[in-house]
Amino acid sequence: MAACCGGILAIVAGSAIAASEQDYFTEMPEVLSVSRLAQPLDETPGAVTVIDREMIRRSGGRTVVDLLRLVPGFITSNFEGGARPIASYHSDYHDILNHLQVFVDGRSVYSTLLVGSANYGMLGVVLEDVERIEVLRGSNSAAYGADAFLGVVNVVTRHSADTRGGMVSASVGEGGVHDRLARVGWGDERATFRLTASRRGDAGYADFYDSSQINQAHFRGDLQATPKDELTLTAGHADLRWGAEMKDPRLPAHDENWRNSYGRLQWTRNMDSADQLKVGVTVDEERYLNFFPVLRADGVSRRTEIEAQHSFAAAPGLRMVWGGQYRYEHLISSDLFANQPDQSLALWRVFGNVEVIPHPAWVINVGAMAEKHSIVGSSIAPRLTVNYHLTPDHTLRVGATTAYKQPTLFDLRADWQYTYMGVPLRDVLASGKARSERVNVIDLGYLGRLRDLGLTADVRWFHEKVIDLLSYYQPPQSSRRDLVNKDPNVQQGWEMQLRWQPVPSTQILLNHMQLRLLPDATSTSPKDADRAPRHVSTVAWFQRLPADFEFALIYSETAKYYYVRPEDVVPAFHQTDLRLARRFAIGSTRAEAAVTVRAADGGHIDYVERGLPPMYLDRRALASLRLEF
Amino acid sequence: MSGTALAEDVGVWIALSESGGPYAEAAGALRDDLTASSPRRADVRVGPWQDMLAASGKPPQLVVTVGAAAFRGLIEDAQRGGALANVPVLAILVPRAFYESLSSKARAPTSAVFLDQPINRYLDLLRLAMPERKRIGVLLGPESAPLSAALAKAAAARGLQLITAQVGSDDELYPALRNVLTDAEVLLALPDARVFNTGSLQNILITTYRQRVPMVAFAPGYVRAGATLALYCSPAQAASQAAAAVRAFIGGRGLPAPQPAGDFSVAVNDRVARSLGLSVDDAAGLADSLRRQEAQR
Repeated sequence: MAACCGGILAIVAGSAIAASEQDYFTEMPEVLSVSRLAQPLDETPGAVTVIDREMIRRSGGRTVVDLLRLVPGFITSNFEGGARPIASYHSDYHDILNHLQVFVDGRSVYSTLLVGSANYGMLGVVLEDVERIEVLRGSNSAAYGADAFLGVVNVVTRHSADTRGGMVSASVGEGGVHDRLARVGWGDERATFRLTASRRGDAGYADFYDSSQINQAHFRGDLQATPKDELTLTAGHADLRWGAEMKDPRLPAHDENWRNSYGRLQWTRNMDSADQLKVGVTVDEERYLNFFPVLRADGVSRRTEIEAQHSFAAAPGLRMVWGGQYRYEHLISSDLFANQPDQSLALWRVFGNVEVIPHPAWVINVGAMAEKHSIVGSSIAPRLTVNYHLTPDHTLRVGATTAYKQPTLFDLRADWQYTYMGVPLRDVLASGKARSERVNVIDLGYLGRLRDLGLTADVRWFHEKVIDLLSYYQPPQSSRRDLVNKDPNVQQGWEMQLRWQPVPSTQILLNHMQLRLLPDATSTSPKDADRAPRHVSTVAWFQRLPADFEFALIYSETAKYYYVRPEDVVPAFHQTDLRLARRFAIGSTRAEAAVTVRAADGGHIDYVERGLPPMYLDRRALASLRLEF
Repeated sequence: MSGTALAEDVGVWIALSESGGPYAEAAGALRDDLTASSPRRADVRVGPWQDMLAASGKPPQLVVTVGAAAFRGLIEDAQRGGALANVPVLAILVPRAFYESLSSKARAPTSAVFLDQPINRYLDLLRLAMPERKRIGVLLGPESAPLSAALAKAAAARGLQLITAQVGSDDELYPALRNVLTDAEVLLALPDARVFNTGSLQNILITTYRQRVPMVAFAPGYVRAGATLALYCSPAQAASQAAAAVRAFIGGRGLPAPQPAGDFSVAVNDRVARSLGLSVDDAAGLADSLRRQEAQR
């Protein structure tokens, strides 16, 4: 309390000071201490792509997955229809895509109920609230735990102090697009708050029953308790309802529903220059409901997480971060776990990382995370990365790491059986023998900047050997499928991103990934070599035009691939998205009107699965208006 | 030299606002400079301004005030008809706005070497350090508002876009900052205690950093706090410029007109710059480039 009043008095006193040399010579306290600063990209122990608020707005994207198209190495599509966009970094090996760790303001959004998938959680993000999306391209269990198996997507929402005032926006267009948003932010210099309500919906792919609507509300409050202590409270609810068409023509199309509620409190204390303590508590509840009497996977899951992290400078050129986490998951589903509907697990984690700068040209990171899982036991994920600055503008990076993905409660305890009109739909009985999946990664990176040309380059070469992949397996003597660890697989290749700003009004991104999947000689699925496109390329052009107009063009090319069965091949395709916007003011209200055309070059087959018609992503135009006041 | 034999030593008193700190640094440099070389020998005396006013005996030919309090003290004393009322005053380490608010009340001639850097120089530094950032946000308070026209002209001449907001009261500061940061790619901080002071700096720096907007400021303390760059006149640089003015005075050419800071220093917070993804030259390199650029004009 004393500290807060001191701050207010200082502001009042400040206003009374007439101009004097004090303005120039007063010693100021260090505000942006090391602990508050983001690590420069050329010192991070891994490849990082940042998509900022400006790019989010100018891309015309509606979901996080739309934006991941702008990140090299990402493959984006939809799952069983157009209602559930999915993204994976390189090949994911699992049709539900669950090898990516996704955080929203420090909260992991993976689904306990839905086999660890983070794709539902990514839908529960309102892009208008996002400050930036940081994507760590590469395995990083040593810093982020299991699930950071292939990469990490870190969504950072805007500080509530930066969203004071009101905002409304709406988009309507072809393909049933109907998006609405209302936001209000309030507060003073000490505490600020934001409440956002949003509805987003569309009709999915052409000629298919897969329309969806997600209604969500999010709250964020930030309190500067003392000059050193910040509290951030986030809470929200998302309700997604979508249409599902069944692979068997005898089965009716129906609706399904996923709901998620969460709350998180984070306390950050910035002590001395590099000394920072963070403590967070998260509670999360998910419900899944199938509006159809068979093939149900209904259930509810609850998750509690408590974590703490301390970073500090141990000596000049030596920074350390260490911490721990406890997580408890509880899941009730009489559909998925017929024998024992009530399931739970606990997880303990301890991690540490040391950053050594022995010489200004070298940055060495050594880290590890030890995890103890109440069912599958313990594992340790180590990591070593060395960055070498050839010159201040050119950096080479080499890294080696092992990452884990623990089996989910479904992988360990599933007892899921459905037959409808004589058609066996699902028959899974997990033996409980599933072990953690593992990936050993070696990568090389280059980060360069040619200042005179306004060009930056980020190149990553990777060799990812995935071991003990979990897969369905039907033992000869059984009628039911089990989940077992099998086929090792290697993915290797390279990817790059060039960012070119030839003049201030023009920004161009050029992404390219070249990916080879090399199933082990003993593989039972040799065709896994085609599980991912051999190459994906994207060009994005963001242009400011006179009279406050803006233009964006995003063109991508994806080679053919499959991700469910080898015969379900998605042919090679390209997609061009266009956006034209104009920003203007009506009094003190800032406004933006935009027209966005997805697949302006005509559309393409985007998803193929046996028993379903090929799904066509068609040209779709929509108009948007946003007002901020 | 013949000049030295012509007349008695010229009395120059250096009146300090406070002891120590930048005042002592400037006074020391000025005294050394004047005693080293002058057309006539200067009899330099340094002390707190209150002591100077209380001193008896022969008044000096010139008083150099260091800092605002000393200048104000001299002017107020002159208005009361004090012993130094008719002695010319050269004010150093003062902002222009402060000097101009008082100089008309003086009874003797006054002049000044301001701490203020010319607006052109800030914008030239910005162009050198961050050529890709063209949208410059500026918060103008009561003291900096008069710079508005000069800013607009200087920005237009360099193809820069200005995004300004007026801050009339403390309540208006954060809404104004929010408006400016909506479009600005860099925040240029100009001295104005209503806007930038020890109480407001933390919030301003954290807010700009959160939005990945670098701050270019007018004092090295701001760079230590977290601004990316600062352009400023060090006490020694001010003293050197003042010494030239004093020499002119001693040489019988009177006091030169009040002048903005001639020389300058640049400070860079490399860690903040790199964290913002900027690759900014080091401080000495930027200062050299800026000097070369000015010399070519």
